[in-house]
Amino acid sequence: MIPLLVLLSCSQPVSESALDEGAELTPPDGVIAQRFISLNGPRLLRRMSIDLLGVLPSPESLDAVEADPSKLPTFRDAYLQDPRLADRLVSLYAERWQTRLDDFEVDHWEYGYEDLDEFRYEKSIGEEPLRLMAQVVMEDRPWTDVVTADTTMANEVTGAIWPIDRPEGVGWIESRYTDGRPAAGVLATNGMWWRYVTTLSNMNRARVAALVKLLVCQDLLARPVELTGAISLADEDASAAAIRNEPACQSCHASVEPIAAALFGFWTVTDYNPEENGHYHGERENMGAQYLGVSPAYFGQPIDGLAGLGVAITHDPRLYSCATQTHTELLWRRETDSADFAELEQLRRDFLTADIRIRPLLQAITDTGEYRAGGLGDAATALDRQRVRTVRTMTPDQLASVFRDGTGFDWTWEGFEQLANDDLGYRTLLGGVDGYTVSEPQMDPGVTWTLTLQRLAEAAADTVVTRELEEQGDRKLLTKVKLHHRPGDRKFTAELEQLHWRLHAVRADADRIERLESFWSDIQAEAGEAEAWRRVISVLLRDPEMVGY
Amino acid sequence: MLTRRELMWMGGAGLLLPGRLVGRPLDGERKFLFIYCKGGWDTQKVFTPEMHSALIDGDEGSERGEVNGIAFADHEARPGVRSFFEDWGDQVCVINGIEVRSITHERCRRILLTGEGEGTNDWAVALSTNTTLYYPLPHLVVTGPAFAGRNGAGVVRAGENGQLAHLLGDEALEASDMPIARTTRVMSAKEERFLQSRLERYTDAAGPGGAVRFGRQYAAAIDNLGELRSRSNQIDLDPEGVGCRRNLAEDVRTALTCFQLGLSRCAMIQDLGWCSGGWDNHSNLMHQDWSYDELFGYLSEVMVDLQTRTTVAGRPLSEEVTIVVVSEMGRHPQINSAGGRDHWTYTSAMLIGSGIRGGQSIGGLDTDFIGKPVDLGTGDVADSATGLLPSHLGATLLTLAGLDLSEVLGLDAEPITAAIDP
Repeated sequence: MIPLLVLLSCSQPVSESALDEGAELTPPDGVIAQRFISLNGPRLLRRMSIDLLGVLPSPESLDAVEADPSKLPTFRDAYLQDPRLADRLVSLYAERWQTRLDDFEVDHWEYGYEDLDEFRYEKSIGEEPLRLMAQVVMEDRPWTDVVTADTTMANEVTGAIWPIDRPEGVGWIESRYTDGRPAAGVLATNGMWWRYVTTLSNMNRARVAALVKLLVCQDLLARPVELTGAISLADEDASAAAIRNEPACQSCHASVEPIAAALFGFWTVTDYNPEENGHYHGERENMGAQYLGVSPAYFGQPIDGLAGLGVAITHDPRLYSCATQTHTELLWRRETDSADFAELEQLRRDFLTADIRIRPLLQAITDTGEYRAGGLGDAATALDRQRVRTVRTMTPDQLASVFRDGTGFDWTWEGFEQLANDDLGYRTLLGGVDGYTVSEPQMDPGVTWTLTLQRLAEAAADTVVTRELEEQGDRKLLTKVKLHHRPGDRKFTAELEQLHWRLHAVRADADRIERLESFWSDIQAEAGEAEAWRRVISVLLRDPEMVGY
Repeated sequence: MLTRRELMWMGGAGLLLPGRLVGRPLDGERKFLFIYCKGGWDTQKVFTPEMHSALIDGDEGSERGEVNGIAFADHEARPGVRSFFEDWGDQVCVINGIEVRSITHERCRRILLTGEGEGTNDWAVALSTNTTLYYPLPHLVVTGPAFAGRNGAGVVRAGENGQLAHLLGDEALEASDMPIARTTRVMSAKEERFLQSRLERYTDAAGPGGAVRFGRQYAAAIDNLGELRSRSNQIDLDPEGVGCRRNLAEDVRTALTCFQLGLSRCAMIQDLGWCSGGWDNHSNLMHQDWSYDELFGYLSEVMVDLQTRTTVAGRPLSEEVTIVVVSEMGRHPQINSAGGRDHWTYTSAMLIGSGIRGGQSIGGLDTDFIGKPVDLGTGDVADSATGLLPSHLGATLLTLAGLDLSEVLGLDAEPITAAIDP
């Protein structure tokens, strides 16, 4: 029997009991072959908001979707138009492109920056190509612009240290390099090639492997290498000849060398040098053909340098299947494989139909059963049970922005965003990717994830209570209660219900409220009202319904 | 009777059958300490001595030495190497000519530690998630890489600058631009209990799907964190460095303490070489001399330390710990124009201690600096034998743990049984 993909409507009321079924809804009578069971409306809105905006949905939007689930697409579409989507895209792309390193070959002090500016410097460099991709999406430009744009994105740091003409303004602004580099989108950004470095002898080959993998999802380095033994790798001349003539070498190098030949404007002859690394070297463009013995080409198609490489990539159908696959994996929170072919193919067709713009693709992905799944149905396969993420774990970037927006707590220290670095911070301890020691995000709670989350929640709860209850500042999270309120007071109960709704998108039932009130009273008896609220908020921030989405 | 924590751990790992726990001792499982020398070491300076041919620029000033069955490049600039092999060579098996099939650091690192280019867990993760005993901190990464895919809950990172220690103490909250009032341990304990209770209800009530897994993993993580907290006064998770580098012996001490306390099965420590400059010496080859001398000096300290320790059951810890020293690539046989050596696709590894047939060097490089095929059973070089790959190293480590590489990681490679003490 062919599994019937059933996406439940979001019309059923949200309740604690529904939540106790794993945030799922019971399938209606007569539906027996479900593969995925959709989250209910508010929880799905919450997932979309966290994925697309990096914040929790407002209580009002939750109310609206709870009352009328047909409004969900309207909210989702609004999220896709929200400027905050850009930051989320940067975070998502960072997982895949892994350009946000803690160290680059040229250190911050080479440009006169103090240690307090180190993080800002490193983040700016690492985000340059990611910001350009996000800008292409935000302006509804075709995805091909990612490799053909004649502009980059620059902020105050990159605009100051590199030869960039950056208009006046704050933050990331569309700008242009002034050193004559060709128009090739991310392929012409320093941020890309400061991450994917090469050496004198490697001559851009490793860079080719990176760009081919990232843009067309082909892993050249995974191809098997079977040398006959007749090739002396230690003999430079013999190796060079083998690369050109030996079938075992040619299987990769026939593709690698001609692309590498197009990248010599970024080939540096001295390391750790701001001038050398910061500028494009147009005078070296022809060295590719000279040193590698081949003219620039893209998988057999002759190309005109770096700009030609970008154009050639746009003619490669794999660019579009790769974009589809990449965005799907980022939102499904798992790798895809041949078992996903049919769904990916449909998404790819939708992408092409939408003039290869990413927003419609994101829209289509968020419409898939797997994206919306809060549970698995009878028709779920063993493979589904093994890999489908019906509960997703918030990434460090998501936790940082959700907590910042929801509680006002922003964990920074001497210029470092503590959830976005591993020099002093906790990015990888919280399950993030550093591009070096960790290359895939951690999806399951572990010891350091739990501990970092505990500290984050502790700090955020303290911020909320200090500002909103003790200092009587602006109310961000605690909108009803005051310190003198006690369990049983109408405002006390209403506050707990509101917190539940705001933070978890779940209507707390009487048992849940009673447990929280009991917990509050236990703490209050020993440490007072403020401490009781700190602990209550902390446990709500650490709740599985909070950090799982 | 299994504890709730053990049940959670089994459920989370999803790998063990209860039957496998029957009849196994509650002590005595082999532990694995990985020391990874980042950047690519020059094997000519220690492991592959006296390499000379028209294509090979030998290591100037070194002579072939042989101590305790280990052939090595002896040089006055690296006295620590000879000293180590004199004292501990009978416990060391050197494996030469391992082909990592790439010359890019990231790729070589992954292939060396996983046997594959993408996707699979590394040896340490495989070893630490396929155990007969319960470990609260299955794979402790003091420093360095870990490839755990997306299911890396068993990987516990200490942080390059003591972050785990700071989180366990108050330093993490002090390191905030926004002031944070800290709570007391009593209040924290109440919060933990409340959260655990909540997680139990969350998990018990969850339907089919990921909520059960998420809830169990979360609850197990809190339990494991509790174990770590209760022992944290016994473990130095933020050891002092020495000058411009980390003190490798101190990092190892942290790992050995976790082994000793039964907290971890595997540990990873990254060595950045002399003055933390890394082993990637495209110039300044003398840095390799200094890095090797320091590395072997530290290894001597480690071996002395290991001999002093006993397990909780009173057995010598040295009987349970296998040390694996690796670097992701070797260095080119020819000296480049900058006076250094570029990348090379053949590397060496050292296996030391428990389960290892010491006092031998297996494999080697030919006059083209290519790995010689090795008979995996005897360790002899033979033209018709097997070219060594990282997967053979992995199969050897998993065999030492009573595991099968193909079953655990789906890779097809035989162990180098010649390296294993029968």
